[in-house]
Amino acid sequence: MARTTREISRSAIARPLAAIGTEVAALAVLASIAFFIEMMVRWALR
Amino acid sequence: MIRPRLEDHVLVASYTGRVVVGVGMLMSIPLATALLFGEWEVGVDFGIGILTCIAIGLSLQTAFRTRRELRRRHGLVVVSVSWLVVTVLGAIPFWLSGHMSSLLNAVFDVMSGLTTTGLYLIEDLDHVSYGLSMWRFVLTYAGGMGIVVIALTFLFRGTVGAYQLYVGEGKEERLLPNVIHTARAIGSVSLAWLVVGTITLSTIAVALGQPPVRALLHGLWVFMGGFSTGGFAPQSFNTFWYHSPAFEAASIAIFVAGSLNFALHWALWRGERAEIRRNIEVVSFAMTFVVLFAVVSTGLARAGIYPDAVVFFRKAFYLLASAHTTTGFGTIYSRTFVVQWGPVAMLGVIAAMVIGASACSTAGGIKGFRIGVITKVFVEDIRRMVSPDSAVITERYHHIRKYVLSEHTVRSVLTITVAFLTMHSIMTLVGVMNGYPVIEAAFEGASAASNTGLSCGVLSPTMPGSMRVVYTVAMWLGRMEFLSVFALVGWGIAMVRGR
Repeated sequence: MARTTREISRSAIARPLAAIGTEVAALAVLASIAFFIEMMVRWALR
Repeated sequence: MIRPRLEDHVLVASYTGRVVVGVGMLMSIPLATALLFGEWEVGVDFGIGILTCIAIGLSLQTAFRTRRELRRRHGLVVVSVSWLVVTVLGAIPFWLSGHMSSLLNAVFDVMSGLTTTGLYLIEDLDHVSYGLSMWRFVLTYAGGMGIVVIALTFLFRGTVGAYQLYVGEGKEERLLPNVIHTARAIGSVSLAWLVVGTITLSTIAVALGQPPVRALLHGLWVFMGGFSTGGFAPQSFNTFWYHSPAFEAASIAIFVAGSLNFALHWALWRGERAEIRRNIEVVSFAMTFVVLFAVVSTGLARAGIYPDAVVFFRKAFYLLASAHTTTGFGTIYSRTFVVQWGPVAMLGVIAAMVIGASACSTAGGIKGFRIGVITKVFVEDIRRMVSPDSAVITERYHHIRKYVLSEHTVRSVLTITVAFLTMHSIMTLVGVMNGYPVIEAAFEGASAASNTGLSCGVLSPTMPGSMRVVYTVAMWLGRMEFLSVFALVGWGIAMVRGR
């Protein structure tokens, strides 16, 4: 079935935003791990 | 070795002419900016730059007219020569601005911008005109995308030999079967990030109290400096100038995104979200980041300069991410690395810069893919040692799809890695021979060679001229990943000794 213009434009905006969201979420996971490491290091060297 | 014939030189000169014209057209962006803000003298500087580029570019195209198509060795030489010519021509507005104490310094800054390094010798940066500021960021943004590819795919449509140029600028992957479409896909990803990143940064800048127009420019420029992993910032204090956790968080997301492989971005655009946790480069980056964060944290905890856990994290995470993505944004003074962070934390940052981020991105360094492959080779060897002689051992890695580790890949990875490590050693040696302490020479050398841009204070407009030349060449070699430069050297040797 042919896609409407609205569906195409919604997809054109939603896809990049979803990709950007995935990348930012991955960075947040890395930051959480790093913060945990910082806590461990500070605890070990206190 | 085949001696290049006259028609080979004609081909290289013709394509170089096209790129030079393209760069002249790029200068119209800072020219328009200068005119918009009433900076008439700056406008004249860019007018001279544009006319020079167009005159030289059109002369080359007219004098060396050809219909032949590029082959691989031509492509690599065109990229190499174009970058040198463009660096000198791009320095004209810098040189005319009065902000550079020598032409060498102007050439250094343009090479730094184009190679997305971010080191600078420009003087009185805080009072640079809007036009010249815009040129700094256009250079770094275009350099990150690949200046030759931009010129030939967007300005001169249908260039058959574009793939040869694409490879020469350090991007071997085709996101789509056609290289023109690949370049446009890269453009689409960059544009989406440009819109989202600039709006976010500008909004934060307005909230911090900047007037709207200035906030928009700062948002745009910091985005361009970040996504290109260039590290140029509008102010001499870099992103430290903003004193804002929100601005730092937004900028970190932008430069980390810029350091990801465009093929990964494209896979995520297609909805393949699992790729982000399976991709060899992402896994490699995450693992080296975690290990190096532990090293930097140990150094900082022992130095005891950040008693507060949040401040500690804010500084350590930002600076390490900036180094590992080879961006060069900084939230501390240059000399803080030496006088407060100390050698352990500095070694962690140096290692991060040397390793770098993803291939086929705007980042520099050895690259996560190569570190991942070397790790796989180690694992394969260990598995072979503990397995029966008859066992067939193969290693696989995931990058958009599954690959079996081949001898060819390993050899190519090791060649470039050894070349990078040799260059870092030479850079350190050059610094030490000029009287700088080893750790500082290694830090600054790694920063230039991996196109990062963090400084511990060695770099200055008055540092020895030989070091400025060596750093300029290292930035060029690092960005070209040796391939194109070696091709140019081979071209020169073949002219003398070829048959």
